[in-house]
Amino acid sequence: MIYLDTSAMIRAWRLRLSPQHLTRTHSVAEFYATLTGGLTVTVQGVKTRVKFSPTDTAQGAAATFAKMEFKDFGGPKALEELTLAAEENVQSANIHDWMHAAVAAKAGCREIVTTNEKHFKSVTKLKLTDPSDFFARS
Amino acid sequence: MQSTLTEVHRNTKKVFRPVQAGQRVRITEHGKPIASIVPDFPVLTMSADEFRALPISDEELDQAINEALAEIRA
Repeated sequence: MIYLDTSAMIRAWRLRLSPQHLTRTHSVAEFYATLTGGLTVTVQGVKTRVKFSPTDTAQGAAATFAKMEFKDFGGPKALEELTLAAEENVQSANIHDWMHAAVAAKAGCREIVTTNEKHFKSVTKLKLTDPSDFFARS
Repeated sequence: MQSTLTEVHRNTKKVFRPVQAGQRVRITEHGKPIASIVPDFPVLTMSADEFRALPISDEELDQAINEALAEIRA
């Protein structure tokens, strides 16, 4: 079982892929928020915030997540995870990566695919793979 | 990056140069942070297919995704 975080799902969307792996339901909301909020990239030599319409983004999410399996914690387990995160001094937005990694570990995943290896390194011992390498081999 | 409030008054263009290059600049007064100047960019709405046609390297796209995720999680 392989876990794809939100960043990996956005990479899959750009590649028009519908991966068959595991993620959290929360990734769907992060996917939507990220694309409708915009990505800052270079367009004709100018740094530009490129946004996508809510309708296009919802359709993109439907296609990209179509074959994904979803796993999530219930309330008590999520609260338990917060306690564990607090013991590890996880702060601010790092809790998002902690929860992604915790769900992956609980689901028995051996690998997390993410563009954000740097942050995940501090919250998991699972193997971390860059989406470019992962999608190239799968 | 960091600048002082005095530098903002004396040499505004110099303080804003790194911001225009995409960096965040923290402004301090008497050694204490009081504000941050963050970059802003023109906004363009496009379709997924138009976006897919843009020549964006994996590195640039990864950075854009990580920054956008950090922003929505802030």
